[in-house]
Order: sequence, then structure tokens, then C-alpha cells
Amino acid sequence: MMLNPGTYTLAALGITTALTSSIQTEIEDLEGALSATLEARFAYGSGGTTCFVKVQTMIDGTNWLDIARFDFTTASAVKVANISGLLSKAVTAYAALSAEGVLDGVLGPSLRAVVTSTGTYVDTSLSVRVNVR
Amino acid sequence: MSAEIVALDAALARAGENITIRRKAGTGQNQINIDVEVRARVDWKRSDEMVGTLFQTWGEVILSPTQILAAQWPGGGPVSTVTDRTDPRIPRANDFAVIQGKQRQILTSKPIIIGQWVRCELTVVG
Repeated sequence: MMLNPGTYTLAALGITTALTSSIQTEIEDLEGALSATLEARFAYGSGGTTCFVKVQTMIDGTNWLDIARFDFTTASAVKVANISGLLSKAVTAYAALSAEGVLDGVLGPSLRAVVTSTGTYVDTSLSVRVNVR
Repeated sequence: MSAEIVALDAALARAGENITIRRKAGTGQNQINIDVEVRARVDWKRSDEMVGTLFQTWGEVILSPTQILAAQWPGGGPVSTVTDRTDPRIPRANDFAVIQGKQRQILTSKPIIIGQWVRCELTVVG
């Protein structure tokens, strides 16, 4: 049985000057989670060049692993992904995710978002929310 | 959970109401609301309490940290050093409270910390 199912905010911020791997505080105590549905909502104002957010999970208490990456440019968009903790997975060498990548089947008890952007955006915001259950 | 929080939660369950604490992120038309529903006691100023520039749209809100901590509100934000007074989980001035369907601005926020955060007293207007 999962501890603390529900919807959590992994990131909610205005995007202005360029961000380099801006780590957002983590959501913890999600032991027993079977799946995580992610929604990344990019609301574009003007300016800017690129923005991406990686959602990461932690299993060993030390190292964060990318499990989904959402990429945006200069248009509003809503993107979703679902990570299943029950998916059978062959042995796989871990690698950081490239654009729009997903590492399904890997889900630990902590989640966080890491935001990177280039260019200077104006009146632009990004939110990442997750429903874990 | 401390005895103070247990007692406050019991009192709010009996004599409180559900409100929403709202923090906004971003600017312009693309602001984001970060909401959490909490149990709170709301008291509006009576006409015989009005002095100076105090208006009847001012209210005092008492809330427990229980629902905020359970929801891990406001969620992910830039990692920074947190002290009792800068803890992002504590509602602060310029956050909002949605009470009986109407959004009101938080003017002051006074967290009560007895070893841990046990209570929050807000002044709201709107």
C-alpha cells in the first residue's frame, strides 16, 4: 500500500533569465508508489529560446535518475507522461535523458524537477505536477 | 505530532471551515496558482472593532500546519537554506486565501513555533 498518494507540485516558477540545471526541492515519502502521472505545463509569454525540465527519482538515497524530460521552445504547451513502477525492465545502463525522453519502469520514493532554460523569457511560466498512486 | 497541533486540529474540526491557501508564481497573464486546502477558523472584524483604516473586509485566520505538511505544499521550489521564518511552507504576506469562494490577500502571517511549527495566524483582506 502506498504512503501518501495524491497530487504534488514538483515545480512552479516563472521563467526569466537563463537557468542551468535549477534544482527544485523534492517531494518525499512516496514509498509504495506504483505509478506517477506527470503533467508539464509551459505557458509562453515572449522572448526566450529553449526550456526543458527533467523529472528525477531517487532510489539509493544519494543519486538522482532522470525518468522524464519535457522540452519547450517558444510556444505554450502541455505535455504528459506516465511512469509505471510495475513495468518489467531488462538490465539497462543508466544514461541521462535526451529531448522528450522517458525512462519507464523506474520509480523511487522521492521525486524532483530540474529546470534548464536558454535566452530570456518574459511573462512565461512552467509548472510540473505529478499524481502518484 | 505535538499536543498543540492535535488540540488545534480537533478545535478546527469542530469550529472551522475549509479554505484554500494560494501562492502565485510567475508574472503577467501566465501566473501559476499553487493551492492547498486547509482547515481554518476565520473571524471577520465586527463593526465595533473598526478603528482608523481597519475595514470590515479584514479577517483573522487561524490554521494548523497539518494539511500543508501532508500536501508538501508548495512543492518544488529553488533549493535554499530554510530557517523557521523563511520556511516556504509557511503562508506569507502576499500569498492568498480563498475563503468562501473569494480570493483574499494575506497581509500578515505569524507562525507560532514551539519546537516545531504548530499554528499560523493570518490577517487577510479582500
